Amino acid sequence: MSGKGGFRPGGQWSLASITMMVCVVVGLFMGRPDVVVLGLPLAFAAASGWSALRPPPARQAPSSAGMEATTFGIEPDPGESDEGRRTFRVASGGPSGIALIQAAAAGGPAVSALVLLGGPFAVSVPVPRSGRARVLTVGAAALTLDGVMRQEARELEPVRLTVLPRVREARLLPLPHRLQGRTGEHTSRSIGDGGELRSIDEFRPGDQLRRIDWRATARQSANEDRLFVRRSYARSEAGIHLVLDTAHDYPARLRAWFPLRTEPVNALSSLHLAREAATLLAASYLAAGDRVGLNDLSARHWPVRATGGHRQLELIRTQLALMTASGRPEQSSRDPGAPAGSLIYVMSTFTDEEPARLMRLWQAAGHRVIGVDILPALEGSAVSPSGRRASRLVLLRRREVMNALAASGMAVLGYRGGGSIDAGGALDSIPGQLPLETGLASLRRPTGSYRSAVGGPV
Amino acid sequence: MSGRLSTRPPEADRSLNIGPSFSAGWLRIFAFALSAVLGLSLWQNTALVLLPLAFFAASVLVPFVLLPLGSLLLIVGSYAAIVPSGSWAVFPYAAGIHLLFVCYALLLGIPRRTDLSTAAALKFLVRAGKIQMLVQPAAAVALLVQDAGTQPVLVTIACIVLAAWTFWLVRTLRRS
Repeated sequence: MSGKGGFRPGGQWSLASITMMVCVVVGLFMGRPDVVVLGLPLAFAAASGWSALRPPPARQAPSSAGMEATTFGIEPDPGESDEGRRTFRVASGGPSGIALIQAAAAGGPAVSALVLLGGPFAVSVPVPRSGRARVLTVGAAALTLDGVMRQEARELEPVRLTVLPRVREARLLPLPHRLQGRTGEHTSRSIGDGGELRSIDEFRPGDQLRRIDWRATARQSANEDRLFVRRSYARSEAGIHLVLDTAHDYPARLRAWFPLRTEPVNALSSLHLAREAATLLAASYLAAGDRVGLNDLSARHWPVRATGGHRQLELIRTQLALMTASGRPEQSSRDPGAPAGSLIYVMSTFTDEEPARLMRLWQAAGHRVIGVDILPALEGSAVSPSGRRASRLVLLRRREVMNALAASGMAVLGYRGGGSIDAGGALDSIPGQLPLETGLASLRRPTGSYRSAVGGPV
Repeated sequence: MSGRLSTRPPEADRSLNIGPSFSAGWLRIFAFALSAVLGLSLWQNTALVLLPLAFFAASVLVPFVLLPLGSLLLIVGSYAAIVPSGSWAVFPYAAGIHLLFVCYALLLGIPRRTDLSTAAALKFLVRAGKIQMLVQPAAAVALLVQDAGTQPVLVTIACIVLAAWTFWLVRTLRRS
């Protein structure tokens, strides 16, 4: 029973029609014109419903039917944007009427409002800290001014946002065991055209004339029969490989590990920390002229080949934002590889054996491997006793994996959000674990200082 | 959204901006108060008055069309039974029942937690006012019709004036 422009009478129309008819019948039966008059205003509402149901004349243009279909759209509000929130406007248009708009942020309660068509409707929703998420769903319907007729509510295209992880840089960074190439900012052990002086030696065939050190020649060649040249170390670059474990996404609130309802999109979680840590490392190494690649530990996402440059950072950030929790594959596929001589960072919560197994594998293959613990500092506790037991088991397993890594001599640094990562006694904290930036500085020298960042026995 | 009336939690308040507005809760309170005023003035000195009051409360709280219908019919039926013929009460009751219907029509079509824009509410009131510009003269004519035996000429003139007024008003409103 659809009328003009998609409007159709609702229960209100029945309310008006029945009340009006009762007034007329009772008034006529009792000979009371005043009772008939009581139903008169409702007759207008009933009549508008009847007129809407009547098909328009064939010659009448659709626009002159009086009730054109209304239009709704969502657009971002350029003016307002709080920290962690964004404002969207729902624009409506059409003939004179009222719009009933319902908006729901992901994980939040729905809000609804009755506004004039074309009137303001702005809703502020939380946005994810990083990654891609649906942030707003809107349903809209139009009502006539007497409230009798309404359009079928329709769902608008939901708003999805992709938030790239923020860029920060660390200054002191560890390097792989072996540097590669002839470009970059690091001083290699081989002779080349770098800036750092290696030795002053006699001129030999093949030496470039611009390398002749005239002062050294004047000082050391009394008879002026020999030339001396300055020899320098070559410049090289480091190959860095970032490996993200996207099997799990643990929220910071333990209660949210066993959710009863959808969590807000801006909640702190391990995957967000992984994205931030990876961006920090990528930005730092790329700023130093190194090559950085990205891979997924579970091989569920496309890898990013290791290369340098500013565009590589944007590529990595975009790929990181698109990475979602994807679970561990049932069947073991081929282990993700890394270019020879790379420094591999594994960002994981270490709640299962797989990241530790791959770290050992890569270390045995001659790579330098550093783990980054991205489990957020946990808050609260699970609601149910079984939930508490399950989370405790997961954390105990994680501690066991970390201890095994420490015994293997592999460094695992912590990037666990704003809270203290060594809140002594908490089951999720690893005693002696260094924060990421401090640990990077301490691991700057390639050999000999691993133990200081591993953490003591638990 | 300063100065607005609301029964909403602060988090939701912060997230929505529709200009000057009020909560649907206030509309419910108003509809209940209006139905109570219309009903109580009919059933004054009656102990059973609590029963229809509970019915009115249910009508504004439960979005089910039979409850508002029952409320409206209760008031109309009581008016026909209790108010004597030719009473001036027809004027406020014609306006009150209309306003009550508008409130019910709104409450039936919206979710429980809804904000109403003041501009939209004004638009509803203006439209209801335009209809009342026809209803109130019609009520006056109805009072005169009940006395038709004594003043037939006056009734005829009133009917002609009402018809002319209706014609002019409809024409003016259509043009605007």
